[in-house]
Amino acid sequence: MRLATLLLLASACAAFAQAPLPPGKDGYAYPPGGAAGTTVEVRLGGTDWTPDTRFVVHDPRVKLTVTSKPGPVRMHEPPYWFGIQSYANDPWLPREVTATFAIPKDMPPGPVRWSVANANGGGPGGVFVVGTGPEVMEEENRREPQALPPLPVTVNGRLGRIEEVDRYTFQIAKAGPVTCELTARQLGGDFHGVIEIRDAAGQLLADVADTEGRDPVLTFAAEKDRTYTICVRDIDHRGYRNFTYRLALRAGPRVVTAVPAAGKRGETRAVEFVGVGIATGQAKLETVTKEVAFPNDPARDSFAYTLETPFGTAQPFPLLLDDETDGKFALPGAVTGRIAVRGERIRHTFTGKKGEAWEFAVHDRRIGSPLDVTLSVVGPDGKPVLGTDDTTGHADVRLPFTVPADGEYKLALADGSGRHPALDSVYRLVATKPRPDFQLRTTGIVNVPVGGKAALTVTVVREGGFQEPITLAFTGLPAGVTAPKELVIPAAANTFPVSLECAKDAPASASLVTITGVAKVGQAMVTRAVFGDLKTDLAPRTPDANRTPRVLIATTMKPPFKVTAAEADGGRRIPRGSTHLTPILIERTDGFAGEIVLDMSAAQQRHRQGIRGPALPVPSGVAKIDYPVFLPEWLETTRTSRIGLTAMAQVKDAKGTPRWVQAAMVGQITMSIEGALMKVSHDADELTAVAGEPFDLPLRLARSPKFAEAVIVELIAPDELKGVVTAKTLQLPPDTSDAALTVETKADKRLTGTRTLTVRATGKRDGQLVVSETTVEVEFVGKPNR
Amino acid sequence: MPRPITRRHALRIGSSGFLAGLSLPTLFQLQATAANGTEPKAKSCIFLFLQGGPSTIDMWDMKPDAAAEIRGPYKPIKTNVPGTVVGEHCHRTAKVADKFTILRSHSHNDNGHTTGSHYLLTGYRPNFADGANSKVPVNELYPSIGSVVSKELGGRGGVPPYMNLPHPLTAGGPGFYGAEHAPFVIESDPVQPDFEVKDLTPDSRLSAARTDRRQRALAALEQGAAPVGRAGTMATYYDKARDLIASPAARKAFDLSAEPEKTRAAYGYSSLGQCSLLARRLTEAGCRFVGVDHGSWDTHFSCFPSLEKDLIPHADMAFSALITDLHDRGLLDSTLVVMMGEMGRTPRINDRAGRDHWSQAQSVLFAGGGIKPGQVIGATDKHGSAPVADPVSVEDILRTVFHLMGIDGDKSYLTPLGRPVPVVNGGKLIKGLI
Repeated sequence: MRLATLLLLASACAAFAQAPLPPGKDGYAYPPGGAAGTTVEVRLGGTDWTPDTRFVVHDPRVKLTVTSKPGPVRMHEPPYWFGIQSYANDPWLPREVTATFAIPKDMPPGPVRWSVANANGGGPGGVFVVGTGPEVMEEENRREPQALPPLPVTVNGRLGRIEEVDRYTFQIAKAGPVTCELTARQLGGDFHGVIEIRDAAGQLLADVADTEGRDPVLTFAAEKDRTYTICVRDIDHRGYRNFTYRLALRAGPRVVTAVPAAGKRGETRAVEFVGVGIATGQAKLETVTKEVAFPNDPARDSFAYTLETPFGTAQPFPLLLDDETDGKFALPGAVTGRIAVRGERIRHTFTGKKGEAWEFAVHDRRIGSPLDVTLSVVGPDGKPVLGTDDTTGHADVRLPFTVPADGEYKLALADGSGRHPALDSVYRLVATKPRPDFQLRTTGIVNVPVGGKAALTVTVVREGGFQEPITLAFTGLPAGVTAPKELVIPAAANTFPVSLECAKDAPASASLVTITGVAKVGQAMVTRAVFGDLKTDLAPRTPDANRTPRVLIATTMKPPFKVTAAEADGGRRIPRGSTHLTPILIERTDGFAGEIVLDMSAAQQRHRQGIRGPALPVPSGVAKIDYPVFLPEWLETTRTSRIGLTAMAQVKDAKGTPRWVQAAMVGQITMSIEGALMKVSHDADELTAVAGEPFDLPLRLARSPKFAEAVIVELIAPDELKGVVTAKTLQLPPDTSDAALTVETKADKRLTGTRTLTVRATGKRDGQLVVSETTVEVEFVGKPNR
Repeated sequence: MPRPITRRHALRIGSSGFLAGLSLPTLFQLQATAANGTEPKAKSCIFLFLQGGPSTIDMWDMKPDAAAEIRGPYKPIKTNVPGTVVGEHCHRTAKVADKFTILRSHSHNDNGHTTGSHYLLTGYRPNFADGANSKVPVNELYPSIGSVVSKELGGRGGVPPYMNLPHPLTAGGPGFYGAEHAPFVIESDPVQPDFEVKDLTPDSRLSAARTDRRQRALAALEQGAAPVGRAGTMATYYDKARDLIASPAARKAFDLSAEPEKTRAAYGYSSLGQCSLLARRLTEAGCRFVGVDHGSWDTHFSCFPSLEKDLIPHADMAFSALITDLHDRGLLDSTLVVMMGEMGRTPRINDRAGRDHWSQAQSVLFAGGGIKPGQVIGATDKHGSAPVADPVSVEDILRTVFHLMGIDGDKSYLTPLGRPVPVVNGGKLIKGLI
């Protein structure tokens, strides 16, 4: 009784309003891209999706059609991490739907963003990439390298499980450089790719690892008609369902950067291109100079230049278009230069007059350079006046500067990348008179509770002394959501909160909302979009790569229930290979009396190692239920394992539409693992069998005295051998520990070489599963009949 | 050129009585006797480490008169020692309270898990913040209590002198004493029905002659230069492994299936229970120090279900069965048993029905090895938050354990950089325990 009182007390102290659990991060599409003019069947994956989750695509030119409900929470497939790696890796558990992307023929290449929303809020979703050339899909679960068609080709692949290495073979018809580019982090998969090129003998010819989070690219010199194998893996040998990638292979050299990296609109001038294989076809950095005509197009700030070489065509390289002539540095002006010596500090001198305003910018990543430049202004007295490293979310630099006193100033540039300088250690410094202008930003997703309010904060970036008020306007708000009529960001204000309000009788819905700001800049009225930040690109090439011109606004419903682990975080000791029944308390509120479904939450602490639980319906009226958590027999006994749950229920919204609302369980189920209750094993180090003939597999079953139950023993053949290798299940009484499984085989061509078979013993204790498995290597000899 | 006889070789030779019938362990024992003035009773020590910090206020130091949020949900029960009470879930231990002593006044001030473990198991403060060192063992410089015992007393049978079950103790490493005094770790849970110590059985595919040829080939390789650094460490481990595989006594000691079912059941089919039974078998076979690592005592949240359903019953069964078993076999006098964690838990139950880290007060159980049983030593205040007088420090505990085993705590060894490090950094014998 006193314990119950204490638990109630604790429960009351821990009580808090159940917040809806919105869809989470780590959205992915597989395949992650497709060619323009095609309709691509994909599986979209993401976390904490309810059955009524809606999918929206940000670019109206692309049509996204979802063709299924979200499937079950997907466990990561073995093998699993153990030891320190299992502490450091806690991948989310996704759900998936099937869908199609219909891409019009004239769709330009690049990423297309998709997002999700349900009655619990909006989620960032992911990106789908539109490509230009031929594409192929990785054949998953293959045992041999996949042969690729003639280059160029883009492979849509995935590192679906840890330790996975995807191998592809290819040949080229003409000797010369071959460029291989991996797009992975740009798709949102948080992994660092490694590319290796091996010859037919397995010798490593070239490799590159993404140690900076920028996605790797590699150019090597290939010989005609030789077979090469390209291997793709994660630098830490990780692999999960959201580790999708696009691997582009093409014959030809690669332009890395250019000097100058920009040209004045309308001018024709010499440009020195820096790239791999562009002068000799060899796998080294070298330069080629070409006359380039820069288009006189004020609407564009860059254009793609395609360098033709005797060794093939390089990929189109974006050259910047500018109004400043690139040459010797002056104010205003621009210069493209190199940092030639490690640690070198480049200085450009200018004369400043008190009160003059300048805007300095340094481009490095944007122009393909590996540098990470820091910029500072040094005063006439030799002391730093102002300095900066990165623009928010990007390595490029932007530095507004007002001259404090007359005198000689220096702009000091240094590289912070730690690299040894090379031909491509290029930067571009631009100094411009600031022009009054403004940019507007906000978050990419805003959730507004039905009958409540939410704040949307607009951040104003004022440039060139712009101080005017800005009038905001919303277009496309979800039904029932309103913004204040008069929305004026006061003069000189840098942030402005907008209170969005949702009516009590509004449905749960979502829409992509356009927000604009209008202000007087000089004599003109200028309209700027409010860009939302949605971080789906983990290797942004430009500062605006993670910005979207439309903001996802969703209305949310409060879950009318609260679910608590009765022994929240209590740390029970559980035998591995068994099922732990943990009591869960369900509290229904606000008149709700319906069924609730408990399931594994997407966010789990530490690597799962196969710990799992089912989707468990809790019938109406049930306030306490035991949730079964299965703990595989391979779990480490040194570690505390935890599992979090979500609860989901169908509730009608204000318009009478049934919607799924969900909330996270309060507390986690915590388990310390110790030795198993039973163990099936065999002494067969090496078994030899003939395809088409049966063989016996002797087994031993060890039981703990705490587990004196009958056990079923069955053979689990790998998917590709289903029906080819079979065995009748055995029933072992409680007092039997030795048995032999008679394995029947078919004379099938698939049954060659060494194959791994799994034997599973399954018993029940208190109605819950106790499982032990062992694997046996069988070498199949003899010639199959067919 | 003949190889010089190493200390370990000498130990092996000594155990066969080569040195005029006087083995090196016997020499050490005589030295220890000389140091203490009396012959030590404890030939071995079983150290049951309740990792995470046991809630001893719910077990050995009940506060029935305190407020509910301090006294907790458990009732005190009488023991077979008049006047001594323990928590209601310690009913097995209560029946053998005359065979052990409760020390209620242990106190220190390190509230971290890894740092507290380092302090407790080495007697020295760590040079890292709690959680900042993920290596196991964390004690890279200072030797653990088991390594000290290994170095000072050596082996006395066919099993290693220092062992950790089933995992390595967080701070159970040898420090600067080197790999020779590292624990042998079984890395297998004895509660598992197919429990066996990996690789202890010689490979049936290798004949004795072939094994011998391999050893001679290795010796020939090493003849040019004795391995040093990591290679030397690995060579030490290889030597230890080879000795163990060749030892029938070790194989026998690890064979838990040889125990009667009744005995195994008495210890409890838990990791702690079966490790305690295995520890008894190992000390019987000659192991000097067995450290049993038993985790999950870090009960911050909803602690009472796990305490009353798992943790306390497992500890209650294991400890009571162990000292009863040792007593029945006439081994309790020569085997010191210590059960404790790196800290205690907060007297006040927190708002999530748990107790947090509290190093200011912890109860420690001592049995056998020459201690005076049936006592309660020290006391905490009315809330169990601190000793009322004469707190017993980590150094006091270590000095007392070493004293009971005949080890001179004042002895110093030089680190590789020449710094003298005493076996115990101060401390005094626990008053009334001996």
